[in-house]
Amino acid sequence: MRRFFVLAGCLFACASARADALAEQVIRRLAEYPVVRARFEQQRESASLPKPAVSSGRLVASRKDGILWQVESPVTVTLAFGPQGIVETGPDGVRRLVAPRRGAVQAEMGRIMQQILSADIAQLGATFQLEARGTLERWTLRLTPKTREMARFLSAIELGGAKYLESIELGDTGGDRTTIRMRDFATSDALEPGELQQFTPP
Amino acid sequence: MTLRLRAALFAGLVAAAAAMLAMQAWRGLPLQTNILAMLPPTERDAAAERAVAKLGADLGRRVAFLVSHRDEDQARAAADRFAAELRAAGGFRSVTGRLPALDPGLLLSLYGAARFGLLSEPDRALLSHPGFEPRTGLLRQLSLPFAPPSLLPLAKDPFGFFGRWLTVLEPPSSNLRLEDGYLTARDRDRVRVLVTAEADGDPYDQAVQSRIVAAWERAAAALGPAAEPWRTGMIFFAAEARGAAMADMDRIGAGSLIGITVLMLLAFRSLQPMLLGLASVAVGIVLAALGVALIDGEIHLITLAFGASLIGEAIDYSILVFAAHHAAGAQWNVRDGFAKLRPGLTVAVATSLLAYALLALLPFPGVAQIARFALVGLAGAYLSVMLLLPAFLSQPSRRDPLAATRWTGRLSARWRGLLARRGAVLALPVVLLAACVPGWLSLTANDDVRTLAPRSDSLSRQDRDIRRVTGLDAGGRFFLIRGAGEQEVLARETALVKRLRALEAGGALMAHQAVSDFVPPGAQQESDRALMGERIFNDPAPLRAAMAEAGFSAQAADDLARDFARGAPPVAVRDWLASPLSTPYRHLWQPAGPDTPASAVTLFGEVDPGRIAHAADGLEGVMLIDKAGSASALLGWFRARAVPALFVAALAVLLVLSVRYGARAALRVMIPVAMGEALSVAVFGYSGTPVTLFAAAGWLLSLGIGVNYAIFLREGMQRPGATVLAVLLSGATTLLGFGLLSLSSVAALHQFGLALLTTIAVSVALAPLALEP
Repeated sequence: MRRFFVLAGCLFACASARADALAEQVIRRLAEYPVVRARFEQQRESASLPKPAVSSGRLVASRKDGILWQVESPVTVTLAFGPQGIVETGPDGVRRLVAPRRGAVQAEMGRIMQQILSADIAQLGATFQLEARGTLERWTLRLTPKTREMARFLSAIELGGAKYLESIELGDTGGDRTTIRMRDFATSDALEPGELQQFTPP
Repeated sequence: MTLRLRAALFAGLVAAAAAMLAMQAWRGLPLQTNILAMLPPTERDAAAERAVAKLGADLGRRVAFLVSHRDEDQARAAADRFAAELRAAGGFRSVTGRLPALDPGLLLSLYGAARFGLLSEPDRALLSHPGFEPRTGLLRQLSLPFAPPSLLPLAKDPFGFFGRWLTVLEPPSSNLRLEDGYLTARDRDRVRVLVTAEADGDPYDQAVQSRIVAAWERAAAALGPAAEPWRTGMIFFAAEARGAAMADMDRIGAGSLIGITVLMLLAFRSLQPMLLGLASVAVGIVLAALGVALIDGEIHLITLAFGASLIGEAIDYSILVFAAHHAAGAQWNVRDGFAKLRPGLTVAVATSLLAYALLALLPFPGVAQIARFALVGLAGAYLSVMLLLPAFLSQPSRRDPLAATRWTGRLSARWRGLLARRGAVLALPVVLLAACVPGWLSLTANDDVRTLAPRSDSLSRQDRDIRRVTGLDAGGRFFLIRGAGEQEVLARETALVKRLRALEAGGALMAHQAVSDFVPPGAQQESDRALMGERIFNDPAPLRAAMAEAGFSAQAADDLARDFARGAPPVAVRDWLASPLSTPYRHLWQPAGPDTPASAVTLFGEVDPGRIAHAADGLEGVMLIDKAGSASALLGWFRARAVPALFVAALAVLLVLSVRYGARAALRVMIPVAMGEALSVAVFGYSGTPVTLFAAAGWLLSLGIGVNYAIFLREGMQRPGATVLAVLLSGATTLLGFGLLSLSSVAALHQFGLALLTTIAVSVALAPLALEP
């Protein structure tokens, strides 16, 4: 009987070690490309909104510099989540710093995405329980907040994809849900100068 | 009056003084350990000084610990354990390990109703922009990726203004991150968790300090070997300073007493001189302590440590008497003997008292207290020698005077012979002074008041590491903002905070804490509300259309407009003070007392202090308070003036000497001590010891003491053996006291002692130069 428990314990340990290993593999793979460009469509569902709010645009993710989120519809606005905070470029092309370098919760989500894209497993592991399913060819990765602060406003993040990150689903504790789908991927080695400029605070 | 009656009267007075002192001590004589208490008020006005004192006490009570472990869970468990042990040990007003979850209800009840008047700086700019339309604002908010969290449902804060304003309430940005309620830093391969606590009581109170140190030791011992605790906090530094000064006092006191006992016994081969000498010292110390207790109401630890070194100086007068008694042998007559001694002794005491009186004039409470202590102590020792000793010395010495002082007579003759060689009186000084020049040229000054307190390596290292890991380096500087009332203070503070934010964005400053971040000025809340009305709510049609387009229900726009119209008074400081949210920041409000409308803005992580200091330029009612900085500047001002003062003091001593010896001889008497001063200054240069006000005070003082040996020698040349014995003995006891002082770990005492030791050593050695060839 005791041997059975040892065996079962071992099996369980091996299974969870494999899941962790897959999560690590997936994250490492996402970080393979220095820069990834894609089109996105975002859908936001909220108790306050009878019909979901839909927006779309282009996304540029750089392992080194951060994430550029260029909304084209229904408004034109670009948000750059970079090391110096969040820089917003309005329809008139005027840049302004909306959140300073550190501390702001607002910058938190940008930071998490950057941690995913730069495969910062240590930091991610400190904030989330990582749980991977599927294979390296078709996977889903579930991030459940470990810390009370994150759990206060986020119930879970679910990422899905194959070679690239194809979908992000965010559920917040208020019941609101944001779903982002990405397609038309292209990779390159560095950001264009024009893109890089949008990370610089005015 | 007979000698005995006079002695008895004096003894009675001293006994009464001792009784008074005992009563003072029994009631508890406050012992001051704050090094800054030695300094005069440095701020321009009383309110600023009060703010410094209050914030200093508030911040002085705070202690911080970092508990670390390689493993995250173990680090948190260790922090919990550590905090629990601190609480169990007692002595703290509060111990904070894991922070309680922020209750959103508290935020909503304080700010919810007034939220239409609360705008973050970027949002105010956005709304003020002529191109702003409600439609773009709403759609932008809905298109934001990774939607930022809000306390309110989307329909209540559709533009996200309130959610963004609330981000100012987050703790100051630092390297620490809140992880599951633990303020955590990931440093190399360790996870470090912050535990903070606030001591209960005055941080300079010995009982408070011992309780806190004991609690720290207990909590640190309770952790496993793999967990590492660090500590910092002014209270730990103060406790160490107290320990160091106490140890100094014990060492100097015990060393002086043992040394004096041995020397007196060796020189006089009799118990009586030793006991009477110590009695005269005891009289001096009792009177000095009583005098300081009555004048100041408290004794600084530094004064006590210095007082211990005074033993060696106070015994000089009785040594002179015993040497004369000894030398007279069977010819001793108590009245004649004292009559002969009195003039020289009085001149010697007068020069010492003159030097100390000059020190007492300095507007430094610490230095002045030391000077008062010495003035009363030496005067007491002198009086006891003149009034008490005659009663015990009516009988001549039984020892053969020649045999007793033969060796000193020979020594003196040989030494004098060496010094009196042709031209030595000129050549020796010239050679010595030439040797001093490189030393003088390499002199450096350091007036930083922070270097005066003793700092142990382990504590300093932990303090430095905590600052490095957390990035929270509270340097002790802060801005004080004053105005006619609450609103003016808040408005002026807002102007300052705007500049500080720019510095933070530019990396010159890590963070600040200010009341106006939590309570914007009422006028600003009203104008922000008016701005929101003008751009969004005054015209309901575009808002309704925009909200419908964005996907909100028709009801949502009307509800929002109604919430706005209902309005609410602006958030006021008293609302904030009444909320538990203000607990960590309440010390910032009215730091100069409830009658002075004022606030403080504290600074963390000053990367570029120069630029930060300019943040107050041109702002009315705002000033930077830098207690350590202004104290250092003050020390520097007086140090720079100590050199001219030294010359003035030398002239004064010369004047006293001229009265007795005439101008030419007086100059000669001054030569040894002048050489001593010159050499002592050079020693500071050669050894790389920076010159501070305390070294300068030491030189000023050694002028008055160093000249005594030349006086003693000159006065006593009719009986050279006994006089040289007296000079050597009194020089040895004085050097013993100041030598031990120069070993002090308290920088101020070390420099003081070193200046005295070197000057006096040379003054004794060269004393024969004062004699006519």
